[in-house]
Amino acid sequence: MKRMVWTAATILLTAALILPAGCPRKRLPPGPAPAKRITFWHIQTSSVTRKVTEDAVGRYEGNHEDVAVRTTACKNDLYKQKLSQAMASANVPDVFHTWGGGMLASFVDDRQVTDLTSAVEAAGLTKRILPAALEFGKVRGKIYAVPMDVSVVVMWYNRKLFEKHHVTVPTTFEELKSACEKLRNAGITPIALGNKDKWPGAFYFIYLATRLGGTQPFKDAAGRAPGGTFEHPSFIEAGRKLQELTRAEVFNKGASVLTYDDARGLFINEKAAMMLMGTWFLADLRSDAPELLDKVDCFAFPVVRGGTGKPNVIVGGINAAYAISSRCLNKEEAFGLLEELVSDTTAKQWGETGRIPALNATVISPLLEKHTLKAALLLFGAPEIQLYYDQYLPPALAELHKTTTQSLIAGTTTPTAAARDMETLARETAANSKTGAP
Amino acid sequence: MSRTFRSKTVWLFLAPALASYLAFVVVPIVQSFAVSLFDWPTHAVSPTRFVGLENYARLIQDGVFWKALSHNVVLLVLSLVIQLPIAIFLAALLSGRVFGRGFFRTVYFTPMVLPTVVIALLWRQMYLPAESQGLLVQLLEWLRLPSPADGFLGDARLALLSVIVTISWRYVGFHMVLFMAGIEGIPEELYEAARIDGANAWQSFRHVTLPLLAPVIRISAVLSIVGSLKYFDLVYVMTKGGPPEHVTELTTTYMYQIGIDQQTIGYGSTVAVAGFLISMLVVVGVMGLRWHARAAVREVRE
Repeated sequence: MKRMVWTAATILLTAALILPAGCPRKRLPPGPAPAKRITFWHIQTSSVTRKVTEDAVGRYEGNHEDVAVRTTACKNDLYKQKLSQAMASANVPDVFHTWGGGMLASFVDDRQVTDLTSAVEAAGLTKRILPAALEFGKVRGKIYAVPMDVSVVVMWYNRKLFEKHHVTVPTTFEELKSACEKLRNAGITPIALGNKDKWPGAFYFIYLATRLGGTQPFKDAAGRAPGGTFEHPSFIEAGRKLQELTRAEVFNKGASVLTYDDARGLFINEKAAMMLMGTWFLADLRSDAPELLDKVDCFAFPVVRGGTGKPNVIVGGINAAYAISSRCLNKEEAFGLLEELVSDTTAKQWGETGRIPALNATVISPLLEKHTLKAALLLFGAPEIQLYYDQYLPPALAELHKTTTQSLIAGTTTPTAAARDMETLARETAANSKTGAP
Repeated sequence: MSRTFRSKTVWLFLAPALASYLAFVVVPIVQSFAVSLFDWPTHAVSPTRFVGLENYARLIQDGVFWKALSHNVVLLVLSLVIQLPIAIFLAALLSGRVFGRGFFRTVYFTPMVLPTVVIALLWRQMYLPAESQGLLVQLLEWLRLPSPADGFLGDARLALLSVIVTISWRYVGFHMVLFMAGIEGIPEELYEAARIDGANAWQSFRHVTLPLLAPVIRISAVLSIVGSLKYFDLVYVMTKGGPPEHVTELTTTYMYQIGIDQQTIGYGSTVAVAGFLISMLVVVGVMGLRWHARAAVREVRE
């Protein structure tokens, strides 16, 4: 008898370990069953952003007692696959996270998402949400997703080091180079770069290409529009300018070995004066070296002479935007949830975590902490956000973009060869996706 | 206890291990082989297009794969050449009556006890450029000796060698312990006899210890060869196969890059299967040599 109990207990424990694989689900509250149900998938798994997201859900449920929201928080890395599988089956979440871009467009093509254009306009959200961020939720001019968060890449610098060595904030590429030369001569590493994981170096390439040729060449090349190519002069010239920087030794030694953390160490120890990084850099500084924060300021990536891109375009991305499935039965309620996710209360809490809510300057300026606000001001002045190339491109091409940029910085490839490699793979990928479609 | 009962019991005890071995080793290998025959585009839920051996044709023309494999071979040869002699030397040294024997034995074995990631991060930090507090470069600069400005891993000529030094540092202690156990098993009388015959320390090592250690050396060599062919973790953490241009790429890190980072699952499986087949071939070859050697010994004895 005793042995049977043990056996049963063992089997139960093993089953308990194996069965709940997947994403954790929130239990429905006890009491009378609400009449309407909404399923909601998001990817905010860090404790602070998850709390803000789920608090918003809680407020919504509090105000609408007839609606129950079943929330699922998914790991970022697994999310794309999980959502694709859900879309292929009938098990589609009512409200779900999206990054916009190519994946959202393909769902729109399959009529899987609800057109929110008129609802967004009726609710007055077009005036409330930052126009550049709202662009990510648009497919062919119509709104399919409402953004909640936006992060941008700016050049952070150590104001005290600049003052000490009489360096002024550069506004052009040439000024950046001469500022770097001054710092280098003073024995300071001009710019910290940790490029082992490839994405930090990619920011330079994206910015240079955007300053040189604007955002259109990338859109055309990635979307395989007629005449669109990764061998566009702006990509080749971006590679050349990038190598001009490496030849001028603006980066620390061994950039392709160092990680983002190592490079941040150089900036924190004041061995390096600048670092091109996203707004999350502030959150990291706050935990590593809060005393440094008062010396830190930021400026927009310099313009390049002869470039045709708009000078204020900023590189960035969104890390939370929400769409509604076309199969959702309670669309009105689902949209109510979206409104709560971009409400003042939610935005205030979101701003406190060090993130930038994707709302208009007038709405969020009072909500932001002063350092975040400096970067946000550059964002408010931007006519457009250039999404990180690797978030826009399919994975294989995204990897190649980062790898070729790493090679450009290390000096092991040439700008024309890097552009040719990208174009070759882009053509292959496009050809395969046509013939390989199920 | 009847014979059938015993064999049933044996099966009963073997069953869990066998089941998990089948489920987590044999089945995935077969699946990998199946997947390697398909084109599996990103985000597709399952493989979409049967391409037969197309992925293998691509592999044969893939310069990066051959480069990665050549690094595995370099790692294999250097592991044998560096690790085993040092391990035998240390084992012989510490098997005698050396002062602080237990202490040294523990020290040399410690790297085996540390988690790989800890070792990788520790050595990576030491190999960094001087301004990033790279200990080795700082030391060389202080001694006014030539040193790589980009750090040991940042220098394309030194990166692979530096990684191999770390790997060797880690495994020398492991092989040393094997050899020490082997030396313990050599009867003391043989050394006595050698001494009576007038052999010095080197001669008794050369003519008594080494020949009697041969079986252990073979085991060490096989473990080292297999380990070198499927090595992954330390390299992945230290360099991710870069930096840049695959200078420290191994077949396994390349497989990870294709299959996971680029999410090209079909071709990634092809790289995995190729790595598996090559390891298998080499191991079977080495084992064959072993049987051959054993048969030769038997012949001599008879």
